[in-house]
Amino acid sequence: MFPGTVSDNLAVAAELAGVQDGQFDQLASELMLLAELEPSLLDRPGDELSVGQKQRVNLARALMTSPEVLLLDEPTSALDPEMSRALMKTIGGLSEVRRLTIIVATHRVSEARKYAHHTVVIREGRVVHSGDAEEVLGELSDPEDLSGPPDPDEASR
Amino acid sequence: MMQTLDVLEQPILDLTWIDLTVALGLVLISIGVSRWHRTGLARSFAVGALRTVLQLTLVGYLLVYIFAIDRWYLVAAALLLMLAVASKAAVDRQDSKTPGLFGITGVALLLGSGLTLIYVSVMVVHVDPWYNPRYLIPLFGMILGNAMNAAALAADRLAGEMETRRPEVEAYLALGANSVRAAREPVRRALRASMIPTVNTLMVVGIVSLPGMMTGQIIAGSNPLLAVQYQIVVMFMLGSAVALTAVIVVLGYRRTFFTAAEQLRPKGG
Repeated sequence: MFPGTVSDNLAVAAELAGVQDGQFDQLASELMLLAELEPSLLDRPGDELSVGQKQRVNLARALMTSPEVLLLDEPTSALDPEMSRALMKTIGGLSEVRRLTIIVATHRVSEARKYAHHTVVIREGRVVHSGDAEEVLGELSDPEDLSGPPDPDEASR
Repeated sequence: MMQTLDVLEQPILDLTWIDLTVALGLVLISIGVSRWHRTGLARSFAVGALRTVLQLTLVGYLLVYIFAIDRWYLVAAALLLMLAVASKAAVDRQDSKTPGLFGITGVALLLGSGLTLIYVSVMVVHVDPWYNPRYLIPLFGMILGNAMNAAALAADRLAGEMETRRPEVEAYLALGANSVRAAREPVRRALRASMIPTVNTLMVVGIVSLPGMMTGQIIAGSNPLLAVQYQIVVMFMLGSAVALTAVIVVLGYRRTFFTAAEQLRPKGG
């Protein structure tokens, strides 16, 4: 988060994206709703928000730049399971509503299983699985399994 | 007006070696206080006093030599040597040893101090001949001393701000800002930090302290009003040198925090 209010934060992105001043207020409210935040939060200082709210503001701020692709690095890592589920639901909704391609990096298999269409499993910097989420994650149940079956190269050694 | 005030000018009182020996008593006082309260600085005071005598005597003879030979290339060599020493001193004060910072600081001091020196010597003081060491070397010394401090402060503060504001800078980049926009606040703060001491000096000069050069001119028998005129030029000159040097250091140094693809470099990378 940048210093200042939630609105200040969105304004930085608006400035970078060249959003016209006259459109800002309406756009800001729309994006807040899209991120499932009360537009009344716009006037609140950013550091008064909860971690989950901050993540949603960050989402709204990113959307201000009208992206085609969103790359989210562990968006739920600081959240408890309930808030994580809620945020992932919001993120999932965005891909539908805004027809966005969203790439999420996560360590939580359950998240990937529930929300991903396509899943890539990366282990030690290399892709070990890639494909339809259900197929790839079918046999993985707990986080330890994220490393997947033994690396074929390593196994043959 | 200056001419009617000639009575204000007096011949200088010569110091003898005996006078200087008596002055050593002042060093004994500082050593005495250090011993008394075990500050651990007594030895440093002694070494410092010795270095002061040696360094200044050496510089004195060097200046006599340069003044006597009176060649432009000797003056240029002296100025370049001063520049190199100042660059090294500014970089040595940094915690983070970024490769290339010496070069950036050198270029900043060369341009910031050099352009200021040319402006003052050619357009204000009308130094004649243009390389007259009696003017250029003391002027450059004052410029460099201040520019060097500004360069060190600017680099140190920029590195600090880029460290503490790392998440903010990254957020700007993630939103599509270029490195110039992403580092705007760190750059602004580094420039402020490097220029504030000079601004403060401009505010209080003559009230809180009499500048060394003016004091020296007055003791050496100059009309105080002439000394004041010179000091005014010097103050303006320091402002220009500090601002130019700081901005070149900060803009040059900023680039080293980003890759060619406008990514923030990993810490310590």
